[in-house]
Amino acid sequence: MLSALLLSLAGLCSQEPSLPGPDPLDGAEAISNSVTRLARELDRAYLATGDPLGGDVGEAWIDADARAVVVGDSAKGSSAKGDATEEDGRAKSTWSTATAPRPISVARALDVALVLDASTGPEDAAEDVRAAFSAVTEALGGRPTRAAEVSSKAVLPTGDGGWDVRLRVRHLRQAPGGGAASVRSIWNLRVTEAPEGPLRILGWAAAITERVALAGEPASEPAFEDVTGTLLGATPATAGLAESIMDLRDRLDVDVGVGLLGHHGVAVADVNGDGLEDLYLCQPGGVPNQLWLRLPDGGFMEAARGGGLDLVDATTSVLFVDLDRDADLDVVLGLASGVVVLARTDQGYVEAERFERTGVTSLAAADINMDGLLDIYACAYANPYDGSTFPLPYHDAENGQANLLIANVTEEPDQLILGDATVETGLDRDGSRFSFAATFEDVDDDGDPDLYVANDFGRNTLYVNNGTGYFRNMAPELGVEDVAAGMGAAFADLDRDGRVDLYVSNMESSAGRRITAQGAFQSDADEGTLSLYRRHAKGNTLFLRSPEGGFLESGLATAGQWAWGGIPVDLDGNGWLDLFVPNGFVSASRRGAPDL
Amino acid sequence: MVSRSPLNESTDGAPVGEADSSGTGTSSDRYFEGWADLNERLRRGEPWSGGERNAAFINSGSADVDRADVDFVDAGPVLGLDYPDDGRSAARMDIDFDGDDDLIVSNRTAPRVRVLANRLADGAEHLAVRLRGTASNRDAVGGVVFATTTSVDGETETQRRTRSAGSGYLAQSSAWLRFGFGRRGGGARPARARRVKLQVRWPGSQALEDFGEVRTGRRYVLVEGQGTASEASAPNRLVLSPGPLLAAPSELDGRRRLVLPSPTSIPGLELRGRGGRAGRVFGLTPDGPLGTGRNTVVAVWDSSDSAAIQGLGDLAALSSSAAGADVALVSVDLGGQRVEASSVAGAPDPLDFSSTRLAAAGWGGGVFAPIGEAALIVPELVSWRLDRADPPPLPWFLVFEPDGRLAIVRTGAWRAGDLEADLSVFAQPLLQRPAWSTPFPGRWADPPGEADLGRLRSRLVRRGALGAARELELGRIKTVSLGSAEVKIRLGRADLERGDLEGAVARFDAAIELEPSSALARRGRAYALHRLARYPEALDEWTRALALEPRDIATLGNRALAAVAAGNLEVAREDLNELTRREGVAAPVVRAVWQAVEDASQLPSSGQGAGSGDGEDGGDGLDAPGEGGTR
Repeated sequence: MLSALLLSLAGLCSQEPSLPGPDPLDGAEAISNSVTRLARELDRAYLATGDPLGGDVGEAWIDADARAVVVGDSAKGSSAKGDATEEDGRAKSTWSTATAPRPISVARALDVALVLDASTGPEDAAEDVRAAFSAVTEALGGRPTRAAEVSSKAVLPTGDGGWDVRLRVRHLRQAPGGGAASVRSIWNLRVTEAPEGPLRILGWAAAITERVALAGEPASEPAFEDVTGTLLGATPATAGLAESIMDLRDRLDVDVGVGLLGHHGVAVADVNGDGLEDLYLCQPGGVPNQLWLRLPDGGFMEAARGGGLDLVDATTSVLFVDLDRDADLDVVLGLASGVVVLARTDQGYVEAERFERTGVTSLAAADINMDGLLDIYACAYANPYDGSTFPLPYHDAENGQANLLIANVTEEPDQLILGDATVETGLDRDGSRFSFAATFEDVDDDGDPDLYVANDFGRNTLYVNNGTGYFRNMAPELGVEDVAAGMGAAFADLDRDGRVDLYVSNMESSAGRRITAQGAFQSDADEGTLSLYRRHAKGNTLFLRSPEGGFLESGLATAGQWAWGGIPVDLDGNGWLDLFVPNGFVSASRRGAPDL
Repeated sequence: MVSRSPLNESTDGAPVGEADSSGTGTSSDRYFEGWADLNERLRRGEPWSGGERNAAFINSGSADVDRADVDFVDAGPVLGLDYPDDGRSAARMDIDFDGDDDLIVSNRTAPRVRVLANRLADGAEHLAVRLRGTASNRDAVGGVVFATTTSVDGETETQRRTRSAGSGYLAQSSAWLRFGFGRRGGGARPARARRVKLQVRWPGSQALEDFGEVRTGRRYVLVEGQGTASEASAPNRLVLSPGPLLAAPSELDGRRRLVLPSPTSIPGLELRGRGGRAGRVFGLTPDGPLGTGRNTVVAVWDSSDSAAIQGLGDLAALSSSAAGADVALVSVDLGGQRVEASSVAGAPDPLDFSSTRLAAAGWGGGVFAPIGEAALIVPELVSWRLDRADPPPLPWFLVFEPDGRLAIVRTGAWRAGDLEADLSVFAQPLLQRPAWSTPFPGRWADPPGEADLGRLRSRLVRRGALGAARELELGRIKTVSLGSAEVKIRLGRADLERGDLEGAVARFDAAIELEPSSALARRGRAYALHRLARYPEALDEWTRALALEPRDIATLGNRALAAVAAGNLEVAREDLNELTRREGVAAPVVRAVWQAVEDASQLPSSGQGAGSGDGEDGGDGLDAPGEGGTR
């Protein structure tokens, strides 16, 4: 945590203004990349030969001046001496989910500090490297089955031309019939830049910080399996789903509207009222949205066309809700051109209303004024990634598009009467903040729905309902502003104290750190502003409801990387809600594409 | 909304050269440039926080009484949930009717959807509940269910679930609320179901409605006000074998066919044919696009690439189809231009070489090479339609409407039947075009509108094709209003920049007629007259402009120069004195006027006035008319 902060500070204080993109790399980052490559090479050699130094370069990595490492306990800030082992610095806390069918066991330990011994030589350093890999294998119960993954890194100069580099590494072993285990370790490397050629290792200290293992029956099966193809088959519709956004962009005209970032949601609802829940998949421009109807035999059939729900407009989100109390589900669609509401009638879907916006993100429904009719909140996102608007200021931008509250005052079935009541409900305040997600929940247990909105470039809003459908933003008072790049939000009682908690998906990791380096543009920014920038990249936030009324930031479940729609869901069936977090911003387009 | 937008000038209306100044000075410029740079990188397919593994934080719960002591650990890798997809939206749903929640995840990367069946919770006890509102909204959105179990020693545990519509990101999850109770004992299934007490707080209420005790392993519907849970039949449990969505093999092979949802005007292309013929095709005028009157296919290739002629594909089929369908064929050889640049007088025309090779391949159309900006425009057209920084490899085929609007862009080798396919698009009403723009059938709620010429203009400016960029200005203002003085002034400025001085005078005349007090129009007219060497008229017009804006230094300087050229040295000297007083002797404008007056005093012929040269503004002091003298 501390080292990440130091790096982001370094970025903020650098002389060169940094672009938000991956470049330019400063010296420290270049070193860390080299060290990462080196670590991966050793890992590859280990996977191939059983010896991390058994690869092409092997012990040539080890500098002639290398020494054995003496492990210290960084938590105490002291350097241990003599024959201390990593076990000494370890705080063991093993627990298992005893009531779950397949126990997941977790052990955690503390980090170590790197201290080079005064007298030993390169042979001992090589032994340290080998010992690090052996320890991982021991913890995994066998050799890893996939390459090590480096999730974060920190670099500090040692002052004499060397560098201390900390890598957080994760290894996984998936053994057929034997469950799975993952091990996180911290690799502390001291390296020196060789006069010519690659980096050399001066010392290597590794510490296992976390071990997660899945066991129990049926251990022969993965805990989760992708069954999409089994359920949906292989049809023209699934062919469209199998194509990445970049592939679709590569073969459709730009105005067809395949957005670069692939924001297309999913909905689960019993669309045709047969008692079985169906699946609606929002699609980019040019690809019709898909309605997968559940068949009595458990299969699925794509039927968007028959129902008139095969919109080819770029669609981000959809809600299936009964807006007119006639026991069928009407449809609210978030499109690139605004919100479109379709009434379900005996004659099929009939367009009832549309509200123009250039780009809608999440939708949420609740009966805000207790008249028995569901109202709709729509987030409108002004998109800096297509150049139409840029957030100003980056860390607290309020120059986006206006979000929308659609009030439902329908009187007759199928005759939807909807109107823009954003101002009347007080939701115009703080309502133009590049919003990605919104969700209703009665946070104060007074019987009316309140509304949380996650905003991309700055503070989030928690609109508290006064009981009549008029809202006031009380995020500051309740402690949930969560200044960050907010992308998803969900309420649930995660600690089982009977009160709802809040999980906000944000941006984390080195990419986010580079975004915060945009703070360098704000050369006159004060410390308060700078800390806001830093917070922007700190990861997801789990707010636990405090008995006193507000929310407390827990520091838990933060490391979700560039996270989008994290949701609470009981994955292991033990009654405690877990958090699943889809993440990743933009992966490289497929290599070997004919035109690249 | 932000007024500043470096990527899309389609709304700012700023003329070329002002909106696109690199502006490296301020931090906000760097900020916007940073965004522009980021967007360009992303469009190139460069990664940014890509390949991240989805996370699954398992809640350890707590055995302690202190319930705040929850903890989470990312178990994604051991659970098989750590796909490196660019994940976006997630929803929960019991896909296999086994009682536990499974996951539906949408991705930006392929596969763009994953249904992930939960085996982890197999064997645990579950309970599923659905709400139906009667007084409250029928879906009972906002309803809260409390499920309480009591252990043998009397301790109770309660789980809380809310029926929501819209949660997470872009997601609506199942209306079934699920409660898990783990598995009692080891190994075997529980002998008896657990009893669970259900209470509901309906939307709009603070009171709890009691639904009594139900048993795990079943599904119940709770109707508001009924007080008893009614059991719902559950579908048979499915056993789903693993099988992700199969990726379709890519058939792209470099061949693309982009049907524009709305055909678009393009800047004119100046082309050179064999034997010194040259001409201009397509382009915009204030009255609309320029076409050939026929559907036209422009084949773009590079003769300097030895494999290019094969790469063009079946030219004979294209030629014979075109001849039969009255379609014009034009080839544009981008490689020829490079040869041309180094060719010496008397050398054979490189187009002869192109022509020979094309003819041998069965080409039956015109053979051309681009002149000037055409070589920049054509690649930008293709990149623009693909929204990427650089175009894919040649060849490209641009298919035009008879009126000169670009309708279809193809890349890769031509195949027999392609023209017929395109003609079938043209045979349909224009309103149908959006339906043709995607190979997937579907319904447009809001079909795409006209192409964004502002973006093309920005691209052309970046490539230095300023003439084409100005032409797009013309095309754009046509859609605004041709009637206003402002538009006439813009047209006049565009004429000026193209060198059409007479045309410019006419435009400014029209503008002045509409708005006699427009200093902008008068400065423009004066400038055009000046460049036309109609110095006495220019002098009068500068004088009128100066009367409207007496403080404008450029106007004063220009009037002095016009006075010199018109032989009126008295006015020129007065203006020089005034300029010197205001700007000081070192100001460039003062020195330019001083030099002109000095020269004229020694050579009292009227034909050699300063500023009457080629108009390239070589420090002669004649400033092009700006938007105003206020900056």
